[in-house]
Amino acid sequence: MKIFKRSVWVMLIIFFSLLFAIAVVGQMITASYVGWINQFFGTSSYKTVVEEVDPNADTEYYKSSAVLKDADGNPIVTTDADGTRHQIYDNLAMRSNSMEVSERVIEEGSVLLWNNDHALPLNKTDKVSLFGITSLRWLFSGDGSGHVEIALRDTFRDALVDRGLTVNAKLYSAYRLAQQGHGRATQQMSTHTNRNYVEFKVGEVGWNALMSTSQGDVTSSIASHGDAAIMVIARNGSEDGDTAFKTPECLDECYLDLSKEEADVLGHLKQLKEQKTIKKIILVIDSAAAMQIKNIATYDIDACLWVGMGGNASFNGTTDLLVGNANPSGHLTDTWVYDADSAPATENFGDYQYTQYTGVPGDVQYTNNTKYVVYQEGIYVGYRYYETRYEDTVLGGRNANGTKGVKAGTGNWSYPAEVYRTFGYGGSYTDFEWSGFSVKNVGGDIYDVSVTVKNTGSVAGKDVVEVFLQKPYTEYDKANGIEKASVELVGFQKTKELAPGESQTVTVKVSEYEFKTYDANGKGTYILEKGDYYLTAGTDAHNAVNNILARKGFTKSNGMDEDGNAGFVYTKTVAKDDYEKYAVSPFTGKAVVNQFDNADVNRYEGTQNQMITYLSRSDWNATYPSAVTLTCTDTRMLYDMQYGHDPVAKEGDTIPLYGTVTSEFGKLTLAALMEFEYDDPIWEDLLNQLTWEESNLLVTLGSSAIAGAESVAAPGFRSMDGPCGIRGAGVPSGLDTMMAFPCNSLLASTYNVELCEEIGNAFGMEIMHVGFTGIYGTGVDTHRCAYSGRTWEYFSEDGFLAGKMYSAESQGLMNRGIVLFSKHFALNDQEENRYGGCVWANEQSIREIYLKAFEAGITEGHTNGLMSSFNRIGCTWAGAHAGLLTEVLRNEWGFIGLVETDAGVGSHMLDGVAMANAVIAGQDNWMTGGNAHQFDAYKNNPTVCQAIRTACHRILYSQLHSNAMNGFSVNTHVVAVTPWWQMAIYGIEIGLGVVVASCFGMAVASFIIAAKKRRG
Amino acid sequence: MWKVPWGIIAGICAMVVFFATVGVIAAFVVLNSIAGQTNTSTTLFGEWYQTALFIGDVLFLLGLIASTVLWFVKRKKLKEET
Repeated sequence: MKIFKRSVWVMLIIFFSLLFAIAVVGQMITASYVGWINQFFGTSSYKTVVEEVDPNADTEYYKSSAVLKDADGNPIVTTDADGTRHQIYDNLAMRSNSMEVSERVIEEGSVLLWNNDHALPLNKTDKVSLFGITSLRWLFSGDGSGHVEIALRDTFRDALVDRGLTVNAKLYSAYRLAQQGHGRATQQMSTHTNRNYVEFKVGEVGWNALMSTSQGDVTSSIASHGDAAIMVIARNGSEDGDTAFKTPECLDECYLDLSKEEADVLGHLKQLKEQKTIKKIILVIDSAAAMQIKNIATYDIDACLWVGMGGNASFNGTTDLLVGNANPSGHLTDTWVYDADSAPATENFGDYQYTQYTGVPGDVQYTNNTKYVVYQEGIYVGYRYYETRYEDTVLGGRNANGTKGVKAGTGNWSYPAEVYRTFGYGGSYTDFEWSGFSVKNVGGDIYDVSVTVKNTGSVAGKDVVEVFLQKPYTEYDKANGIEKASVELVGFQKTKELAPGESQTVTVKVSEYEFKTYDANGKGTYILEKGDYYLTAGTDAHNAVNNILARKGFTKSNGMDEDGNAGFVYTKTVAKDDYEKYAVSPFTGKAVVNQFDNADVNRYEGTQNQMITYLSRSDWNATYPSAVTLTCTDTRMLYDMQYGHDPVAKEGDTIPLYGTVTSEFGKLTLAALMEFEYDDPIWEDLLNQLTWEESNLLVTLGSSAIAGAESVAAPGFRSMDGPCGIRGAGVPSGLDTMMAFPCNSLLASTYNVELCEEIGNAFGMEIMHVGFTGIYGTGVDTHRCAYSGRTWEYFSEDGFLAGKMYSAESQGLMNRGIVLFSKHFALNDQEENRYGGCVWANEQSIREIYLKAFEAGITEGHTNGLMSSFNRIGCTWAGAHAGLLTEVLRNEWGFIGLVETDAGVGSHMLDGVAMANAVIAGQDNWMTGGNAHQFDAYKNNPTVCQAIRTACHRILYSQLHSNAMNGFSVNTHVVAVTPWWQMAIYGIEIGLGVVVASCFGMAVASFIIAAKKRRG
Repeated sequence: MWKVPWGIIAGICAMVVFFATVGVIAAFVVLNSIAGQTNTSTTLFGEWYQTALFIGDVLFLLGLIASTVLWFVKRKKLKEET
């Protein structure tokens, strides 16, 4: 019989056996990605069971304020099949609120960079021509995992028309015809050797291309719409996409300068203005990053409005500003300079590889072990550099006017040649007059700094009072490598909207906590030095320095570019050095000591043979940075560069209990602990109930979700990318697009913390309405220079401002029960080589610049979650840096939230030993798919087990105080279930097993028959 | 040449083609989902093993076609001889 052909059955056995093996392996792999697959299919591995419902209990702990209401305005409450009651979300109301708050952010955050002869606002009857491909292809947000793809029905042109302007239709048609291949859609993948790296094109339409569409020459239409030419330009930035690359498309080969086509269009507009064909040129900049201004400044542009990346509300907010429906009151969060390379940080920004690295784990796709970057500029980031060097040029000496660092100017360094608009600057359609400066110690270490602001112009507007501090730069500082900036922001307050002639006395609270300085090389802690501390109120950082210089007796005759106001300065003299007051954390009472010696090239024993010179105001010229070359050959360094070393159990640590009910109240549920503090002993009983497998899953399931736990009725929750909108969660029902909120740079430039909290609230509702709890945001790193690809995700070059905004947004989000994974903790200030690349910086700059915003968000905003960064701090991965995650974060700042990793893609963070080391260091959760047996190799290591237990404690505490608990009472239980896709895999396995067995049987039969045939 | 078991070779080639194709698709899906976490993307030939799998797939597909043709020819020849 042909059916008993042996070779056929043997091959079928092989085929189906391999298929069976694949199915088994597939089942094992999918078991490790349960969270991600559940997210994909919209399934869950847990089912909630409500045993008994208390009809009077309100288990909707976190509510949306956008809910359906009855005729009397009372929220309508519905009851689910399991008896839980909740309000009904109103997505239309939610979105309406999101748009309204966003519009206010654009109006209050956009910065009027200049406005010659009151070129803005436009008259509402003006006939205008709209230039720039961005006017059609607006950049609503940056790119990367935080990018929210939105689709708007209206256009920028529609918004202008809606406000009464007549927009040149022929020109607009020409742009429509010419747009193919231009604008943001032309973003290109880089030819860079590192494949995880994006570079951008501008893709502007040049003048000739514009005039040669089928519309023909549209110059005459420009003449008939000559009240103003509005040119809109944009610059992108992205995760894995810094903007430091050299591009022939742009002037100066700098992406942050004008592209040649933009310059071409602006050049023609300048000619048309000279010919009186158009009356004025308005430039609108749609970019989170500060642009290089040296070429922009040469085109006789009448007014320039920076509008950041405003998200969905961009058109309404921007056009309201252009026509004067709103008055811009934004102030810069970054210093705008003529040449972006004039920031000393740019000397060590980008791609650096150890010149020798034998013995270092090799580079792979998401792990750049052989790369590094050195923050040689120390604390001199942004205005701290420009303003301090300026002060020293006035004071004389210190080689401040040397030639090093001269980029836009020629000869000696000069402030006006390098800086266009300083940090804190902001223009307005009206004028303000300040008076009545006073400072009062109101008890403790708090000072009330008051200024009366009067609107002396003709339209209503808001102003910002910024308070800056100057600390004394002492001989002790020079001897111990301590740097002091000429001014630091220590407080700010936005006025209410002041009608013409109206005044308001603004009081800004300043804490003496800001007076301290970190002394890594001397006392190894925060110190308060004797000397004069100057507090001043300024319109911007430069104004503040000038005030202080005036107080010191300097005038324009000493080289100042403007006279300051000595009456706006308060001097506080500290009589003697105090090395104790700030050596103890005011938040926890723990001693503050050096934690980042291993990140400082000059203090780490592995690099002390490669000492570097940090930028110092003691001699600007001699210490100005240049690219640092390092090797990685030292034995200690090579040891620390490995992914980890087997953790040794600490004496006294014991293996915790698992799966054991120890509470006197019987089996506990998570909801029962709602009223208990984080450190209440009852948590020990709850944690004893967790099984080993549940503990492993809680720590390792973080990709788009956080695990629940059946034994303690923890619900788990879903998470999604942020930080300026929830990406990938789909469009809420009843709406036609997702929501991108204004980027963080724009948010910070409002200098309005209340508005920032409102954004947090609105954002929180957008998250909870689509059923999510965790958000991978907000972004808190520092604008170390203008080139970071994620400038749009981060707030500012200044940590104080960023910290206030971060705190406020956290509060708003947490009001809706959102768990923030604020990113990227820490020192992830460039994208290139961030996967495992080493960041070297001294402790003063780490604490005073790069951790400052995080500190405020945690100690003031009490934020509930963080995302550790991919990079190493020194040789140690940030997620395994005990100094960062345990000593500073927990012991100094008192953080009780959870720390999740960035995306689980790097070898340096996923290696088994690395994970064991990291969890001991304070890393709580990995953004991976979950593995119930990840730490089985350490099941008998009590130190690892205790660290896992502590991580579970923080994860469960965060879950407990989140909207994931909505609907959960003490009577709600969680039951683990098998989702349908897992059932399908089991079914396939069984089916294949049966087929393999059948084939085997048939093969045996065919061999027997063949043998019989041979014998017979 | 006519003693070569072309049918068995065709069967082996078919299996390799099947699993190599599954491998090519699986590698792309997995790598793309990893890249998607950082909002980047990947290609069918992003890694050396993807390229090797694809080349192997194509070679064994050619082998499958050739051995199948030869199996038919051999079968026809045997029929003619008997």
